[in-house]
Amino acid sequence: MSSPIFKKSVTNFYLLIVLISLSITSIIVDLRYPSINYVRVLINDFIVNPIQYIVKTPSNFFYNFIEEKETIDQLRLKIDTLEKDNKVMKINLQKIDVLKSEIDRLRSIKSVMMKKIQNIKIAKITQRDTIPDKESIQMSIGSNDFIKIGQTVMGTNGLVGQVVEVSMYSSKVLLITDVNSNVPAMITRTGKRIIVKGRPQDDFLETSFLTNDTDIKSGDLIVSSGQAGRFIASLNVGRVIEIIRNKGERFATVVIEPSEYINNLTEVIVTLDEYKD
Amino acid sequence: MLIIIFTLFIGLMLSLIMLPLGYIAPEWLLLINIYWAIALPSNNKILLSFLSGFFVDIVLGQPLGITSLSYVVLIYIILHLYNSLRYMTIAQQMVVIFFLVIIKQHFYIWTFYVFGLDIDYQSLIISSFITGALWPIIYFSLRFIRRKFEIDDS
Repeated sequence: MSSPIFKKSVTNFYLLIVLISLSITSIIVDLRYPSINYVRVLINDFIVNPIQYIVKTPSNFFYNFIEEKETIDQLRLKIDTLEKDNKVMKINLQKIDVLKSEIDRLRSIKSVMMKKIQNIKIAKITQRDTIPDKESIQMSIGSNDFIKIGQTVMGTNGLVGQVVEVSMYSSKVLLITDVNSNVPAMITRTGKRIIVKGRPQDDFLETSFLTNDTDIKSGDLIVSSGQAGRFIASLNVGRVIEIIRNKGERFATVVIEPSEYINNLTEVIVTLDEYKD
Repeated sequence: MLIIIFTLFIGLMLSLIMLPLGYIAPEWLLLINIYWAIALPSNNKILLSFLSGFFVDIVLGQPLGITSLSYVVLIYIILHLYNSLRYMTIAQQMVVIFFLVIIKQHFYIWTFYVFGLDIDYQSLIISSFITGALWPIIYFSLRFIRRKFEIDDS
């Protein structure tokens, strides 16, 4: 079919109206009932994730190639250091029985009960910064492995974040270093409850609404308190490294270094337990 | 038609590569949609832009349909303007498309605020600058594809 140069009009006004109303209804449905997003999950799993995999394959191949060249010597070195560490740890393990009984005694005093974490899943990090403008990661397991929104994600050294979006084979995690994530936490030395959130300018954390006269020192350990039921209690969040008491203002600025090296993570642990009081 | 969809998939790949940039990343899918709307104007281009907006929403994790709304409106405007756009030089087209994208971004931001969501204004404006600057690349590469495969109106 040969088209003339000047067509009168190719656009169908009614099609425009139909599509606009369709998109508005889909926005409203998606905002009102976020649990019914099967369309999103389906498209994510069957179209977007395969494309992402294809896109990532060349760079992965390149990285693997570089990594394999330098491994054997590194592995020997690693074995040496690990053996040394192992001996030190074995010595330290002997002290653990004493510590256990002490911890039990302390726990019975404290009202915050720490439940043992039982169900865990280990996930690989497939991509970083998957949510625009937010510090986030994507991991390789999803609702097929019983991941739900709100579950706590941690590393071996401490808290990492929480699950915010789930598809069938992948899910997205909002890190604690993001400005929007507020972690209910506790200073272990004094037991004071604080709220920790990310700093926009770097990868450290800071507290919000901590008054100038609070008893806090640099080096204090901050753990999650488990209030509000979002994060599991008694996970390491970080250590205080700097305290700036702002004169003439009510609140102090406290800089906290996260215990987990969030930027160098390759694997994370997801707890499937739901925290209950 | 298949080749048009294939180019849209390549656009999706490019936007997935540039996902870590956030909202500053150029809108490849929109540019490809604009090219096809100018080159082969027909009704199904609106439908295509609607679907690709859906994909962008899923990739960025936004409420479904918020991007496709602005895409549909922009492609509708382009389908009205294609006659005058065809007679412009590539630099003029670049400027006009930059301004159209800026208008689209404001519509987009406005929908975000209507539904009570927050969005970074500055990076969207930077993104429309980059999107306008990338128009010649899209134009020449897609024209090459169109002539090579002799795509007619479909």
